[in-house]
Amino acid sequence: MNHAEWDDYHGVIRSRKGGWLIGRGVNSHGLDLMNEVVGHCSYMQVVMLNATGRLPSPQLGQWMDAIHICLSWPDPRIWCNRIGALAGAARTSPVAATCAGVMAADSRSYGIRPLQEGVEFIQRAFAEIDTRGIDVTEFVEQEVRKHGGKPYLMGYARPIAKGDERIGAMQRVAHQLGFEDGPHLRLAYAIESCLSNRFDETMNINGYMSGFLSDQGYSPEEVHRIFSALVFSGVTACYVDTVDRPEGAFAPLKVEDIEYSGADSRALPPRE
Amino acid sequence: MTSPSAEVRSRGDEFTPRLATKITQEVPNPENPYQAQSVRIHGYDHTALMQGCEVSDVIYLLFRGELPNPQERELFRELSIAMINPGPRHPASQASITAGVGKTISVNVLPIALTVYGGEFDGVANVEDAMRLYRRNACKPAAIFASTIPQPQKGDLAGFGTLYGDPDLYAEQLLQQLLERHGGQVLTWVWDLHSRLKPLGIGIQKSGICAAVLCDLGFQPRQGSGLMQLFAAPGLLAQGLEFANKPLTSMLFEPDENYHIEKIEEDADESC
Repeated sequence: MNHAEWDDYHGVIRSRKGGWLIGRGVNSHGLDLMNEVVGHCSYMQVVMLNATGRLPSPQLGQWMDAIHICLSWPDPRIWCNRIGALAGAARTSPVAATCAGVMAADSRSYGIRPLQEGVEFIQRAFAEIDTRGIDVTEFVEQEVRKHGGKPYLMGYARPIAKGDERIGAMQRVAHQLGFEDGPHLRLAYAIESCLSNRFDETMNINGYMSGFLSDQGYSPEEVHRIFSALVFSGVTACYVDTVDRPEGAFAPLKVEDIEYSGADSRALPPRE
Repeated sequence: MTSPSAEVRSRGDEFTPRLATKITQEVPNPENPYQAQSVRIHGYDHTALMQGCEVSDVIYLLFRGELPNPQERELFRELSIAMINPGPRHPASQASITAGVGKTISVNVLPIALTVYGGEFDGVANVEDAMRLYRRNACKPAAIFASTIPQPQKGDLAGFGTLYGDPDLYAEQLLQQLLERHGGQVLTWVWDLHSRLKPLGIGIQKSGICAAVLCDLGFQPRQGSGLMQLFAAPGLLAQGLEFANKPLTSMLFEPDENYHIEKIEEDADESC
């Protein structure tokens, strides 16, 4: 008889977030949404509030605005965007296309999960270096050994290209907003220096964000929640581009474009 | 100026206190009321269905409320296989492959593919409209129906159209095979209409075949699009997961020389 806990929830909804009480207004995390938030806070501040329960500073809201621009751009060759472009060519609704692209970025290779892992990595690195007293070079050696001698540390190196133009832009934004590099970000740069010397690999935007957000006090899980729809805008753009062209016209493939490497033609076995 | 919208009042709508369904009957487990001890689907014991039915029989049961007779069973089974694999070039399969190769978490691959398959281009978006159209008009000769449609609107008939500029000849083969084996009022009418429209460069689409068979089997229009998605789900998922263990480089990524940013090029031309 272990279901008593569920009886507490039966027929009632409990919320720690807020809600709409008809005639009395909308509450979000203890704030009167229409009078204390609308017109006082940016949308990105509210995104972070809803994901974490904490209202960030206006400066961090502006930083979030800028990083979202960096994380989603309209090139349909990027995997999540490609799905948006295919959806446009297939004539779905923009909502369906955008949601499909957002779901695609729930990926182990790009999008949100590597970011969560990046935050885990830099926070673990900080803890290990701090608690075990090993130096950065030794830590990097240890991590590279875990990856068979390859520099596949989360937040470093990048698919398709080396280097990352987004970091310079975000460094500029952070400086303009008055943010100073904190201990996690300084460690991230130190790790980058080791990898650059030995492997000619650099930090990517994930590594920069992971260090910065760790310095702002966010956990890996909070980062996953905050950035759950991080690619939506670029996906929508790619959808719009193809939905305004002939149907099926995004990268159409001829039959002969596909190389078949399966079983030879064969007859069905007789039905029993 | 004060708007009356400032005063928010409940409309006092009465919402049901209990969900009601004709499909599933669960008998509660005496040990835990949140668990079922037994389950019936339209009156049939679920575990008995497991032993005595094909999966397509139970799908039919879920939507129609009765198990199919032998003729209905065979037609429904053949339709489900006719629609089972849109093929690797279909935008929905391309989306599935893109999700697979992009290491999107496995549980998202099928929803992404089905979302794109929800489009109008060689997808399911028009099945519902097609079923309504066929149900309304299949009682009169196709020749008379065809003569009532103005020429420019013939290409807009739900379930009819072109695939990459021409009638879909593979869809025609599927339609012909189903018709020869099963007949059916709507299927026969749709074939007649297809034959009359084909000289105009318009033909049956897979969505039209699906709609016609489902009409003959007595399904409701609102059930049509989702059923066609369900039929195609195995092929779409298999195609995407085939790529889930492959590197990113096994999917197309058009090089920059094959990627044209049109507006910039136009501006450059204008400046010359």
